[in-house]
Amino acid sequence: MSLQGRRQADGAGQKYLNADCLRYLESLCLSARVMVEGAYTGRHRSPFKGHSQEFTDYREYYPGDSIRTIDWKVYARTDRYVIKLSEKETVMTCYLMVDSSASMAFGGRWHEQFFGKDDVSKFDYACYLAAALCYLTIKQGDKVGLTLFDSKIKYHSPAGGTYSHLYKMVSRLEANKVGRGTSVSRALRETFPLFKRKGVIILISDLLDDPEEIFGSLDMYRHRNFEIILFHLLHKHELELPSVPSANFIDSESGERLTSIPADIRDSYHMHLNEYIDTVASTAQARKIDYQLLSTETPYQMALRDYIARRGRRWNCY
Amino acid sequence: MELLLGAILFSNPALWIGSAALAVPVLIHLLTRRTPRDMVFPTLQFIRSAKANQSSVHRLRHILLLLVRTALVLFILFAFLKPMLMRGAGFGSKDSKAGKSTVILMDASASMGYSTGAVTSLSKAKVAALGILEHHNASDHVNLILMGAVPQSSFDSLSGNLFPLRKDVRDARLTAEHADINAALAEATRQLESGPAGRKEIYLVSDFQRSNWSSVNFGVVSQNIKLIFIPVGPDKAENISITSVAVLPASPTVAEPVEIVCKISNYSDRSREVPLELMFEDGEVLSQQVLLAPRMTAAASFRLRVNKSGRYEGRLSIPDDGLVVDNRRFFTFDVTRAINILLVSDDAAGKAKSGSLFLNRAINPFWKAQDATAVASVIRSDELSTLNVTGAQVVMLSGINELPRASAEVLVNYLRDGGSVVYFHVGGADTHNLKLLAAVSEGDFVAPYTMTGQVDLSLKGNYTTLAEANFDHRLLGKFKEAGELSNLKFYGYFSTERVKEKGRILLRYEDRNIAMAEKTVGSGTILLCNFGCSLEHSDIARNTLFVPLVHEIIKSLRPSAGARNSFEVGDQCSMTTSAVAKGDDVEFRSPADEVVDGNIEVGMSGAAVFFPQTKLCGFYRIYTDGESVGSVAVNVNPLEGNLETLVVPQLRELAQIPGSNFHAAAGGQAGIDALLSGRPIWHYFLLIAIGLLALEQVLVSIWKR
Repeated sequence: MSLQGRRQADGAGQKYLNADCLRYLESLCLSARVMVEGAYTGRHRSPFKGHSQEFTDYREYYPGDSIRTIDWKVYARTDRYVIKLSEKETVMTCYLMVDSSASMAFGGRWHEQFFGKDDVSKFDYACYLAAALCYLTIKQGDKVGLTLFDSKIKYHSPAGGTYSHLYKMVSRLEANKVGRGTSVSRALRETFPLFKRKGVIILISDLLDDPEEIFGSLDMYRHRNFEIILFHLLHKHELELPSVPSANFIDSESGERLTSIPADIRDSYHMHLNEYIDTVASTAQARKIDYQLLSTETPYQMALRDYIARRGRRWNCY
Repeated sequence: MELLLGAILFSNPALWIGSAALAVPVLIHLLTRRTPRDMVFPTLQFIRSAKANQSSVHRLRHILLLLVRTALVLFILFAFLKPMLMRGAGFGSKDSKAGKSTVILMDASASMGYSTGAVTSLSKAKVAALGILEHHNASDHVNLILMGAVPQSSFDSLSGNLFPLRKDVRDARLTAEHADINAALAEATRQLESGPAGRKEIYLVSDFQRSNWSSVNFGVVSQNIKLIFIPVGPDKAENISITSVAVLPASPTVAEPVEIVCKISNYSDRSREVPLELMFEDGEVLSQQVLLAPRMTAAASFRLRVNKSGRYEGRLSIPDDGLVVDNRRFFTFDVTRAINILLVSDDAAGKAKSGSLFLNRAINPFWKAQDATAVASVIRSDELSTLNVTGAQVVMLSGINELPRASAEVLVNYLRDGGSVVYFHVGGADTHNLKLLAAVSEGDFVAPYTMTGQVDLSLKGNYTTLAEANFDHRLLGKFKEAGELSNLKFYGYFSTERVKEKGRILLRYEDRNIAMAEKTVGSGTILLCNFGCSLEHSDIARNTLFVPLVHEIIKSLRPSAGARNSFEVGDQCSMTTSAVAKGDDVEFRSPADEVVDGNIEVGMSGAAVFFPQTKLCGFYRIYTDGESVGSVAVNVNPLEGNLETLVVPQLRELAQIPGSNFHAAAGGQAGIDALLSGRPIWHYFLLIAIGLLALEQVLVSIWKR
């Protein structure tokens, strides 16, 4: 990456991608766990066999094959024409999907009177995370695309690997406004034809939708061997009910009102929420989807670093 | 102002201002109530699920706590308002503007004289009655009725003048009478019904003796009148009472053995042995120990022989106990020189061989009167009167004409009172007389046979004899062995037809006609002899059997037992005496030797004396020229000695009045106050408040977790 490009990125992401963030992300690397399809030679494994250092297999020579691929040492030993196959490394295509539905507008400036000025909303947190991931991906020479959705796709940017593309995406994140209802599954179905190449789908959402439908839609991608990373983002006051004496809770999407005293229902609320989180986590685990529960309480850089470190340990890939 | 809530009266009006404290928990609740703030919240579905899991009690706990705290303050306030539990709604509220009508029935009967220590039941009744009056004021209409043999009302009608009523209560004296409760209740009801409209109450202050109250008819009390029972009697009385005395025979003759039998009842749960004394006016005292089993009645007797004719006054006594009035019993009896027989006959005077002549001679076969065991006074049937028959132990009718109705009534009344009549049939008037007696008696007397005609065998020179005799009868038992009855010849008699199941047949003729039959009428007995004693009708007067038969008849029909002239205190009593003649100056005296009112009717054969009012136990006497010429014994009703009382549930069952109209209270001042002013129950309210406080603490600790 050129310095000019980096400055450009710094200037563009004043809010979601500042200098401190960039410095923090310098040392991180996000790798694909599954083989990804890329037109360019890169650092990630590709399903296409090609020229690279890593041997994968032999096969018999057929006319039409390049004679440069024949392993002459084997021919010398066996008098047979055998082609030596090697794994081709390619660039990773990362598709970022950020939920910008009304439910993501919890916390931050929207609830400043309850949680203070320092609080970060779920959507801002998701944007910080998405911007960091975009930067991380482009920084390591891979391509990244961005999709914003609520009940439908609001914005879609095809995958790109340049800093100008990064600027464009981060700018769009800043300009984005949260919508109304959520339909993660519908958004996933709509983006399915848009993601041409196999790669990594990173979905950042509070997943306040029907889990079965969400995972049903994700299964389509899994069948195409996409790697899916699920960042289940919840506000700290969603995980721990807000400490207000009494509140008229208004559903952010349906407008339904419910008056209650949080202290009275805290235990029961935790039970039901944890039950839901466990359901989502276990379903994701069963589908080999990388699931990570995030709280806005944890700084996103720390959360990202921990995730990447844990992912590296888990898949032995750094 | 007093407030009546149901049966609870709050009687401390000054603290009603404390009701403002009720607002404190409400204010605290409102001030600490959390105003919910609107908050957009994404995970509402989990809040909804969490709320659905909450119980409704948990959701309403703030309201519940508010209620508990408000109730806590309320009950503390109630405790300070001096709550009183009223047995009946509205009792005792002196502020009732309409006023109420009240009659206090205070028992002054003999049993109320029972004392434990120095306090009699009547004293307790006075305290209770004064306590009741304390809860009335001038706007009320009150009266006091003392329950004795005759109810004595302080006022003719209800009055608001309480002062004389209090005085009457204090001055009320114990009587030795048996209370006529039904009359008192009827009088109280009459006064209340004629009084002003509004609340009506009858307070019954009594010992509620079972023997007296169990027969009370509460049906006379109107449905709108409340009955308040205030027992003042002893809880467990131990009393011994002389309940009766009898002289055997009732009118003994000189030198005849006399037995004085009395009954003593032990109304206690333990055996007692008491000395019983018999005393006569001459100072002679006989005594014996009487062993009395628990709750049993024993009989004791004194045997004596009196050698002098005249009127005797006797007194039986046992040592005094809680109830003194029943420890003495007075009685009189007359000892006659011979048995007095009244022979009623219309036979012509001096007629030889008449039946009455033979009968008179058979009654007293001796020519000298002092040797006679029985003497007859002969009168005509139209001379029959109450005075005539009173002194006679047996009345014999022989050869009488058709009786006047008045004479028939005298005979029937004499029979009902225990007298004995022997009726010899000799003529046609007897058929009429039997029918007349049956008619006058209104069913009490139905002859064992009807006369269907006269049989006269004398014209043919024939006769008939007795063929059948009931020797089991006490009259004929002695003639069984001799067998002389069959020798008697009868020439004229009535043919008879048996009336089934009426009377007893003693003799029958050969032709199956009835010769002698007996029938009881009231307490007395009439012996019908279907034959005459004259020689025209039979030869019975010629037979040696005649005199013994007549005397056996007299002996068997003579009243065997009875204390004559024994009356109860409160009753009008009467006596007869032959010692008073017209023009004599008479004086009537009570047992306390005070001159009392009395009436006297002097007749041909004596005088009837009436004492219209008796108030004391003892002898009411009549004096002429300063000398007692007659007396009558007056005793307490034996039922008064049985002090077993009815308890409140039994009274409720007995009264059979709606529960709202039935109230009862202990007779003490506290009981009256509890009934009329109410029973203080502030401590219960305080206990409830403490309980509520504990409940509040428990709820708070539960819901804080």
